[in-house]
Amino acid sequence: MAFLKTNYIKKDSVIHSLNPLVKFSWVSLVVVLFLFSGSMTLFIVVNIIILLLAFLGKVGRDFIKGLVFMIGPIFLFSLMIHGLFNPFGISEEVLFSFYTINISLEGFYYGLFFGFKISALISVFYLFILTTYPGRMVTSLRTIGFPHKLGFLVNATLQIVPLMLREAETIIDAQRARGLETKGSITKRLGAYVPLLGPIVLGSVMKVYERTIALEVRGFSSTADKTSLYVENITLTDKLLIALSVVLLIIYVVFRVIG
Amino acid sequence: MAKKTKKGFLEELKKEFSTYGLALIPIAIGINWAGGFLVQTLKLPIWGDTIGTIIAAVLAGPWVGFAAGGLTNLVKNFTFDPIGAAYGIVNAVIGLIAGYMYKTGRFTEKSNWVEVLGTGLILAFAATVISAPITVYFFGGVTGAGADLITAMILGTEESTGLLTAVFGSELVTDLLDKVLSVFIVFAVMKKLPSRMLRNK
Amino acid sequence: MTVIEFKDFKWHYFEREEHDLQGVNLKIKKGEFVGLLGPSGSGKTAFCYSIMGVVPHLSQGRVKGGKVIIDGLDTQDSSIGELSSRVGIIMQSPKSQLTGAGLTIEEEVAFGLENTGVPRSEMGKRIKSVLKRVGLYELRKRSPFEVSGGQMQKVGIASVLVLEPKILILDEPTGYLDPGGTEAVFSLVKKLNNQGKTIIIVTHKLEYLARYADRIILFNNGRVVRDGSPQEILSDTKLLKRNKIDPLPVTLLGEALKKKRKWKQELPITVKEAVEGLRKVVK
Repeated sequence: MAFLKTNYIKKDSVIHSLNPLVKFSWVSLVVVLFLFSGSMTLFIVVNIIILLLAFLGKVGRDFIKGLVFMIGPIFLFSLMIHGLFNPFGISEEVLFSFYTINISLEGFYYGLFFGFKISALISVFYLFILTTYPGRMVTSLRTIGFPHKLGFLVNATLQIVPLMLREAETIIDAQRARGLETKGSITKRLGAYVPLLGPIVLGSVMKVYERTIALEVRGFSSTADKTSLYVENITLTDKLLIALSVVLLIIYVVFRVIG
Repeated sequence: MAKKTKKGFLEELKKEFSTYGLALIPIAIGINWAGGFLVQTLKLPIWGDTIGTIIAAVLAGPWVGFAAGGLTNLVKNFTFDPIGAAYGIVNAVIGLIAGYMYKTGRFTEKSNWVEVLGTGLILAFAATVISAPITVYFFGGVTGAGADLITAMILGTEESTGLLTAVFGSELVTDLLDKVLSVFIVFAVMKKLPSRMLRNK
Repeated sequence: MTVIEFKDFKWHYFEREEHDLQGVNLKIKKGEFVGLLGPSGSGKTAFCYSIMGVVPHLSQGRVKGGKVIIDGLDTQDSSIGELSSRVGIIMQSPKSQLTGAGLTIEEEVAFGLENTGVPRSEMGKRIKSVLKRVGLYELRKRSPFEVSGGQMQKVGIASVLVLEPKILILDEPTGYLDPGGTEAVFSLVKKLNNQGKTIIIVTHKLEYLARYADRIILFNNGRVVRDGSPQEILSDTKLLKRNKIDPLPVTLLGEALKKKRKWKQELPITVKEAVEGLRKVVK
């Protein structure tokens, strides 16, 4: 089940070999644009660039397959909400009419705008996920001084969550075998939710104490300067690419302020 | 005097983020994801992804709840699922509020059902108040989920007063069911936990 | 040289997790191999936790008197972190003693070293040597959660060993292991003991204590019931039965023969002793 693994795809590509910090810089850049930009052209360009990067990372096909699945409903609902009701618009101009339904020109534009905008945000995270081995992500953050304990939180989460999801699946199967209805009316399904989740929650919370001991005896609270088994090298290319993200960010901010 | 409270707060934080608090966070995130996974499997119209957050807040404190909630989305967005990046703050605030309600004795293992229900309602309103503006101003009201249909339905009514209220309405429906159910589950769990685990006050 | 000293140590749990310690007095010397026996809930785990500092620092309860001195440190004044450079503990459940901090076995083992600031250059060497010693070197790039229970336990042992503690506590370390794994763990522990480590081991596998231990401490109701050599304790079938422990089959054999006045010497606790004794009986 795909849900049980991280969606990283192991490939030997330029994008894979980049220091994860480079990809963090891309994510940050797109997040800033997402928060402050109102330009549809800009978001379309961002979408295209990320798509090209996905192909450069040899994950182009998986990228498209996954992305279409995610942004399909977004474009659909976006065009529906904005095309039909144009809540952000002022113009009454109609793009086309279908019986009593009017799709407004401005609403249609907003529909596409939010579609591309959201798609850009999803794309950049998706590219990161597909091409970054999670272990390297934590190591790279540690290398630039992120707290060791934060690294523990991320790695432990990545290990514990699949275990718990597997447990969830086992419990679902076991309860189904005992006749618990996981299909049918909504009240039935809601009724199934509690007996399924309860044991997982209780069982896992009871184990926290033992894990606390395990952490303590490994010097988790030690005040010594932490060291790392692995370090992520930052190559010249990595540095240049991070610098590029920063420059693009500055250019964007300058244009926003002037324009 | 102000200085004193500040120091007190930092000490409080340090106490919350003890080894126990930190060991609890990945477990809480796991519960959140398992909850979300079950909701998907059962095709329920709720999120199911804040139960771990509320438990972390209860067992270790509001700021641990905050961290567990925020990291739930953050870690997910960088490893599994790129959707929902902006809503980590909602999950985090849920933890914060639940933690303070526990600390001040408004939502504990000894609460009656009215108090539990009240907690669920407060969390639902808080979640909607934070998430609706995010959805409207950054996502144009679009979430890509079934809730969008409710948004559109509300927009289509004569009384519609704009996108924000429409989104607020549609998200409140989901959140009410979700948060009320979640706090009742956490309440049931609290009742079953040995009392030594519920000493954080 | 005494490395562990309990001075009339009394511990009370707020909620009964395990038995309270009702005044424990004993000394353990460097390099001793000590087996802990006792029915479940007799205070063995509380005793182990007291050496590690989990009691009183993590467990919910109160010291009612006395103290515990570990290699010169009073556990009540020292953190578990400080104690962890002297004492390592291996618990029964393999899964819950993994921290999850590393995505691979190698990284899990490295975690303690990273926390205590061991330089990278040294880390690699120590991890390699410890993984080879426990036989996990080939699996070092695998996830620690995706190997067998026995292997998981060895990851736990390696993670503790790598910190080079003087004292090693093992709380039912072979509970989840098959006979091959059990043998491997015990012979590893004996090897470490020969290299000078003090060993405290809780186990129901009496045959291994008979073979390897220098000393056995029998617990019940939070007290030390008897403290003596393996021969003295394991051959006392009445004492064992009174404390809900099954004596070894070879000992019971000797006892049965003794009743028929065919067995003259001390009751056997190892197969070798039983064979020698039987030879005399047959003659």
